[in-house]
Amino acid sequence: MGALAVTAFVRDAVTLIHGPSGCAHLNATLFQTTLMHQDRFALPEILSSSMSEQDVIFGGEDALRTSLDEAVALGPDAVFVVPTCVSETIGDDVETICSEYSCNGDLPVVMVRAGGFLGGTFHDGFVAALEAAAVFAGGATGASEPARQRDYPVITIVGEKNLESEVEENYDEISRLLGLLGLTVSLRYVRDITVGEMSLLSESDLLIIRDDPDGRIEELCSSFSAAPVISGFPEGLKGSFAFLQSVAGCLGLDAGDALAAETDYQAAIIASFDDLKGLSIAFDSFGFQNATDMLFAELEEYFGITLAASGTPIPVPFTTPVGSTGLRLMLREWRRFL
Amino acid sequence: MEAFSLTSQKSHCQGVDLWPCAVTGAVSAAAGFSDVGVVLNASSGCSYYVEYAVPATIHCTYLTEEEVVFGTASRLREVVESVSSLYESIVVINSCVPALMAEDYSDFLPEGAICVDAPGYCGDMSTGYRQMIDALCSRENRTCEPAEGVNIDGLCSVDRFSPGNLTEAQRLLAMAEIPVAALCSGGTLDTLNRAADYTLSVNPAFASGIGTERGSLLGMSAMEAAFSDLARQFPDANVSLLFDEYAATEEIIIKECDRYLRRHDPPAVGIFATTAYAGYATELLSEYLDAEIICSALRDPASGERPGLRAVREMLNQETPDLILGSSFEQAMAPETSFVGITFPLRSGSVIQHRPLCGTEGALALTERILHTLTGTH
Repeated sequence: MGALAVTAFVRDAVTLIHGPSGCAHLNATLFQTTLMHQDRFALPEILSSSMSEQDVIFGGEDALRTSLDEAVALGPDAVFVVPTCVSETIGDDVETICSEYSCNGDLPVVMVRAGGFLGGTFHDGFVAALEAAAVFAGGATGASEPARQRDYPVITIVGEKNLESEVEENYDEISRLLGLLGLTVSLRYVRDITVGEMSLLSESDLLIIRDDPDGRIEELCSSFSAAPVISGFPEGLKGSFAFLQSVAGCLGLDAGDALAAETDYQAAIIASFDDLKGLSIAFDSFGFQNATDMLFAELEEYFGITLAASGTPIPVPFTTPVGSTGLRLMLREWRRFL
Repeated sequence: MEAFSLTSQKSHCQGVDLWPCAVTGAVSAAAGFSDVGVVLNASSGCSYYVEYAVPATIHCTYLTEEEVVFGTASRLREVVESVSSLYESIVVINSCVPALMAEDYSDFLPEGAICVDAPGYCGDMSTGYRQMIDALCSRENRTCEPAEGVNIDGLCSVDRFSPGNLTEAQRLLAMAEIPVAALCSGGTLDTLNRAADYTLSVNPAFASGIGTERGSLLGMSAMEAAFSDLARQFPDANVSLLFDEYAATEEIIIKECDRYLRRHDPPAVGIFATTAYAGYATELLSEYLDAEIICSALRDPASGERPGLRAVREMLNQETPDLILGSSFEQAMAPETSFVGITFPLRSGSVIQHRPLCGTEGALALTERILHTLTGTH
């Protein structure tokens, strides 16, 4: 599922799940349910090698080859092959078969090292797919093209959580903050991009990672780019300020006007929640992947909302709100409870 | 226009399979019995999906790579021991990898516990469902005399209409003064031991094989035939009220459909469902709305070769039905087309009410949803 959360968002590629058809079904069903929360109805192109009992007994490599022939015939620009628990357990040599196809034709066939639960967690599969797709960083052939002269910095967002409900809202917030510095996002690696667009990756001037709890995505970035890295989307008001300063610092820009504009923006947000001052919340940290004391301190400092066991229980967002706008959206929801 | 029907496509790469695998059917069948504790021996990925699909309490081992290397027994034992006191019976269901590992759990499973392999590579949901019912029946090893009355079959909690179907079947049987015997799957497991000789199905896609099936309650004509037959088996049954209701129901459906047809052309319809539900919907739409079924694909074709997402998408790109009856997959493929959900999976929240598809109430409910959807009044 983690791997699909990357590969299924390469628009001109197909993802082939090498396993029983049920594996593709369960992933697609959960995928679809999640995407509907984002009002996305188009389903990505996911294929299955539909391994049968026969394949499990005698090996699934023939089923994989047959499926790859059919996948290639669809005319994608790349095929991502994702093994499953079953194909990993029986020991199908997926990597060799993918290499054969890549060597024999013009079409890259890339294996993602994410074999169901044998491949680790959702995040492991997610990172593995980002690694696999990085083969396109220097162009589809793998050879780096010379960087073109540009009059604007290439800013790349890396590892957006494509299945989170607020993925577009979070992106909008990053775009808004970058816009204050006169910047725009050039590449979203990987969200709704083509194989060809990924070649821009190695030309990035700044890489902004959505979230990198264990540092693996930053390490991956260093393999295809020497550009500076910001290793997480900003959280809350202070986080937004720090983000603007970091981006400006990385690109040698003056952040003065941007910080002033953000100050005004945040002042309006703080004023709009004046009615919440003095209230207490009870908070269960479950759900926050990166719950930080900084966020709670900020709520108290700017909004006068304190954390207390006797406070009003509030709904917990799954991830920490992104930027000043994310905080505003969260507080609007809390207001109904407070 | 000739109907575009995909029931047999020989291809590995049809895209995503639109029907769940055996493990979902097996879990659903076992979890239907209130006194059975279901332990799913599977990874968190499979478990997460099954918990989404089956609205019942399921206990999972959440296997990791470590268990694949060193064996799943220790983890399974831990889960079984923690829940066995809560249930009369324990059923362990192995997904693909534990089924491949073929471990022997007999030294720690409680007496009477059943362990069933239901790997996805061995079949689909219907296969798993039947496999589990067979295992439960052989465990019960029928020793009692059959109960009086009729078993209600075809109850599968993955089918969001299952609770409504059960209520409707119970209501109709009560009206006919015929007692209800075993539910499959439903009630308690011991009722399988004294199931009646006769069975009525509310959804033949999930046939347990218990008793002799005397027909189904899907569709007006099927229902009439089934109760006519039961009236011969149960001389004390009173089916006259039921036939009155049948006639009144048909009158309502005819009247409302005629009202629609006075203002609109008959709809062109795409149906994507199990054979049972597709047949039922086809009959209702053709008989009362003069509808033309311009495309269809079955989730459980007799050939076993089920059209996948890719094939269905191509079908819907080629045809332009006015109305689609199917699952959220078809709804997502043609979001602008009027849609009535009758097939798993359905978007969460789309079927909250326990509405039936079977019986007279089911026929009325389906007709109402179709007409409302076609006229844009809901």
